[in-house]
Amino acid sequence: MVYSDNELLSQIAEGDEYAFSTLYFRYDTMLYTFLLKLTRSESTAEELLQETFLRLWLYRDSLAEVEHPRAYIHRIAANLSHRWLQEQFRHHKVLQEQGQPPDTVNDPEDKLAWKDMEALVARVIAGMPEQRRKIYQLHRDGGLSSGEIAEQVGVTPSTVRNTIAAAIRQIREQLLEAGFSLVLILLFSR
Amino acid sequence: MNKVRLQYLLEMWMDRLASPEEARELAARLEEHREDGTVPELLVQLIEQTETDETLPMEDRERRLSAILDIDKTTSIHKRTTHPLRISFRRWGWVAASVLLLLAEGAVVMMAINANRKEQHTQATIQDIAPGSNKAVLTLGNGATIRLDSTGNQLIQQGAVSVRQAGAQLIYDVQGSNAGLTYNTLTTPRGGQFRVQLPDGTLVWLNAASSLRYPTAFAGKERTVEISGEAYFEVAAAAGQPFMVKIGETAAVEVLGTSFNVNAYRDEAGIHTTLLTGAVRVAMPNTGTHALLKPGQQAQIAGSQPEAGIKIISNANISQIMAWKNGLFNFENAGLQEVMRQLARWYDLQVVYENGVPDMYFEGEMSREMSLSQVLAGLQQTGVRFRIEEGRRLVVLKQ
Repeated sequence: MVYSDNELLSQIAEGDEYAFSTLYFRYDTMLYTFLLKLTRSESTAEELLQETFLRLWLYRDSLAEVEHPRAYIHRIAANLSHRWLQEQFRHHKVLQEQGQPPDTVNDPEDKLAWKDMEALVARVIAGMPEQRRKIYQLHRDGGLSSGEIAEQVGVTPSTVRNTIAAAIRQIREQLLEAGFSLVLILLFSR
Repeated sequence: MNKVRLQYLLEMWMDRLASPEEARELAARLEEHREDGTVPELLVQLIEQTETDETLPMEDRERRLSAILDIDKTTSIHKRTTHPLRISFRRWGWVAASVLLLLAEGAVVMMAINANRKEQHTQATIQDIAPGSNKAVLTLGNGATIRLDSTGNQLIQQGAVSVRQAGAQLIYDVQGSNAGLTYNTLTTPRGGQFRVQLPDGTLVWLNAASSLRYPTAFAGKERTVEISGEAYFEVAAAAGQPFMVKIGETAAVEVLGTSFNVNAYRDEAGIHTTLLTGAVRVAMPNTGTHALLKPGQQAQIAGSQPEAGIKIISNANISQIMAWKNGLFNFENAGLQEVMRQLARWYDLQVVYENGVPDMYFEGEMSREMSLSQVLAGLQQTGVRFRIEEGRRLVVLKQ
């Protein structure tokens, strides 16, 4: 089945990893090629690519409302690229003033600290109220559907869905509080 | 004006052609347009102009993806035996994202086939079997048969009707008005498919192990053809001369609009008519039952109990139903037997279950252009065990 990007986004909104993978593989090559050309650094291109998709993933609960997925994804990447360019050129200027060759590419200091983020997310999940943690883990680690989780935990499927949404929000908020820049710069209308 | 200049500078910089002056100018302009949204807008344009590098290593792409998906999991990657494994079909490219996904016992394992690794996965002793191809047999009104394959180009004259073969397609052309009524039958073998343009301009795609019987000229009040197996129709409009598709004695599809697919393999669940555009009426002549289909709907007549009548499914899975015409297998939610029936028809196999049918379900799509060994390599990775025997027998082994 070839799903449209919009269909995939609705599925991703439900936490469907397979849909997310499909969408990722639709866009990653083009974006990575672009980012590599822009940043001239494999590690920076990789970080920006991952950051683009990490935003999609961590904001998945709101993706069903996105009308133009292609434009949306490209826009996130463009915004992150813009942020990087600014930092890069500021850096560039400093280097030039110091008489350094202008073409050096150094990773900007606020590079996505993946390990730190992973550890923080793990702490956030561990610190969730028990029911929420249990439901979220059954969802993410166990890969169960809302219906299956509902049965196992003894609540309604809609409670499960709400709990998962609350858990995603909690993760997002605590990441933001800890200073990870994750704001979807635009949640743009059209 | 500023924007054009900025775009030029960015492009020069990305192509590593910017002079030091231009780099300084770019820095200044980036500063100038810090907040006004011009830069992201330009960057979107540049992203969309990017020529994609298709040679990026799959391992890297997957590693980046996994890192994202693992970020909010609490179990370690290494412990997860169900970690997605995805390998590309090189031949098909990533556009078609050929992924086989096995759903077994609640675990989700994504599987696919790496065409380049087929030798590693397939025993050397197995004689490979090529996929199906464009081939068919045309039976003329006088009983003469003509073999067709995609390399042929020929002209067959039958009275006032000329039939031209142009590669994988037959094209009917009627000269004069007095063509006389003769019937031709186009039959595809297992492992064959073909296309025909009927005298009224209607296009018919015939899937493997199927047949289409039609008059060489449509003279009567109706344009009636008869099929078995599976065919997709794009019916040419002809006011006052409806198009009818008969499926044995069980069903008839009266066409009021344009395109639809009929799957009436005897070894499948029944007769499934799916409407893509226009309107058709599906009828069961023996019982007088009929149903009008809207685009996206599928009419199902159960093979085992046609007396149950016609069941209408809304939101039919069009891309799955039309996969064959687009050169794909689509195994979404298909059980092992269904997968095997499709493979058997395309690779001309006899499938034997040595010890019962393993209970497995698949997802994903796969090119119909792969050789059998490539397909089997993929199936093997999903855990299906089998061996190939003489006479194109595929023996599915116990789990």
